[in-house]
Amino acid sequence: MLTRVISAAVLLAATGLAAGEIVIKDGDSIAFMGDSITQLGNLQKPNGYVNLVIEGLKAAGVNAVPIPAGVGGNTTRHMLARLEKDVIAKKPVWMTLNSGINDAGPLSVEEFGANIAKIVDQASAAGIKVILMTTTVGAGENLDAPSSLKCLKFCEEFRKLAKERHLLLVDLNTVMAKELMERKQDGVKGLKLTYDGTHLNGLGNQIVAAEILKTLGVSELQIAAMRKRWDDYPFAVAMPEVSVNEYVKLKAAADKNGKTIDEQVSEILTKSVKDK
Amino acid sequence: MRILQAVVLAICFLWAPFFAHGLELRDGDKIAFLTGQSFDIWNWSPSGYMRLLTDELAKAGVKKEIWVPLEGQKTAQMLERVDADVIAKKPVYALIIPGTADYNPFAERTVPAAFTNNLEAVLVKLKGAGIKTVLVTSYASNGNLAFSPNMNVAEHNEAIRALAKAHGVPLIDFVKVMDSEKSPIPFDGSLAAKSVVNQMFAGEVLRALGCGDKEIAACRQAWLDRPGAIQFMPSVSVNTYAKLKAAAAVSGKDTGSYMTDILREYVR
Repeated sequence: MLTRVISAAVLLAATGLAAGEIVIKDGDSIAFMGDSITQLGNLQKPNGYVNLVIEGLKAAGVNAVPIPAGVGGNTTRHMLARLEKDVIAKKPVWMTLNSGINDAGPLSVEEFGANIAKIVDQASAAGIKVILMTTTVGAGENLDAPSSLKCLKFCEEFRKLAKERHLLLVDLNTVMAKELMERKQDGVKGLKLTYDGTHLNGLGNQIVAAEILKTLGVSELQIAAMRKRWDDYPFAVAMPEVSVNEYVKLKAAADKNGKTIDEQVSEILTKSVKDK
Repeated sequence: MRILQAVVLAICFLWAPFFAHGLELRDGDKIAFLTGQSFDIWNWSPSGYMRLLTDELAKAGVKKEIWVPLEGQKTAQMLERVDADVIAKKPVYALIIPGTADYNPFAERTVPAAFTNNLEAVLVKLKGAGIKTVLVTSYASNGNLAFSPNMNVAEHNEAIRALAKAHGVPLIDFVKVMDSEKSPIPFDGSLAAKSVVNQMFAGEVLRALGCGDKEIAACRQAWLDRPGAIQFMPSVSVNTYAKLKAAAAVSGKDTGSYMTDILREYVR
């Protein structure tokens, strides 16, 4: 226990993070390096996690500038290869690093560990402060799937590296796994934090963004206020399911009304409870 | 003589469900699936081909655990693991669906020569072990082979076709099946389209396992009405969602089922 306290104190001292102090300063730029999860975190507006983090910082009085650096299908090999062009050349003050989902197939744990260490070394040498983020939950949200178990080993590499280099660590995997377990116990059916088993849905994005903000030093109170606001953002945590034939009929109705099928479905559901 | 008749009748009775489907499987027979990445994501989802196959085979009496999965792999990894992770488990069938991890346009691609060599070595090992092997061409993620990153798929698929021919191995030419499919939903890479792709693929696997055209057509027809094939992520606010959740609780349903019922009612 004492070791943990000392480690935490060392980490806080090393990163300059004191209680109630936000490490990101007004005007700081943050490169968000990662794969499709990070790419979508920027592209999904307003509720992609990158956008929520920037919004959360702004609400806490810090205007940060995002530098999107997520590319779909990337492993740490690709991130290492494009680090100079996509991050270092843009001179950010900070860089978050998240990977693992795509690495689980082709890369060994050893190579993954070596790649993230090289990324950190190169970014640090360029004066960029790195924030590590453990791998998000994928594989159809099945925590026991072989790829999920391999990702747990990647997460250990992230944790080990954060400890060795005194870096901030956002343990997304632990937070998401805990959330999934709790929701499983609630009897919630279907995918919970992702829309396709891998990519974050509205709730997944909120959970990831809240955890990042917490690690950056935004207070629990401020995060709670943000999450209340985010609750009015469009998203859903349970998904209706239809057959192919029912889908075709809904699509025909949407076409007739000049809407996309998602707009049509959202409207039907919203109308159904409008007066309740 | 009567004993012989009884034995013959008993055998016929036991095999009846399999003959009805034309399947060449018995309960407890194992099928190995050696697949790339995209099928790894989709195989066990509610609309995934594994779920469709499992349900269909169960109707035909094949109910025991039959899957030997080796998923999300490149051909080099398949070759490395085929002895311990497939052959040692003695499957009757092996379906090889190579390519997705090998040609991923965003990742490091397996060079065509290595792809062919790896795949051929896997094939030789499986055939040597007496496992009935079926090759499947790779599936282009958005179904559009003219999309430049997917050109790699076409090249790998040519190699797959050539290997099937050279080794006399049955082939599911999935790209050609997709081309000739009259799908009710266009293949645009959407979740809805992928649901139909999974139904199509499950049908082709059943064909490879001995199922006839008539039975497959009946399955495909039934799958179009299969609940839960396509999921929506509706853009309702959390406050609207809270109302839906409350209404669902009053109805004694979970929220997803409640929303499903609203949509069903709408299209009825």
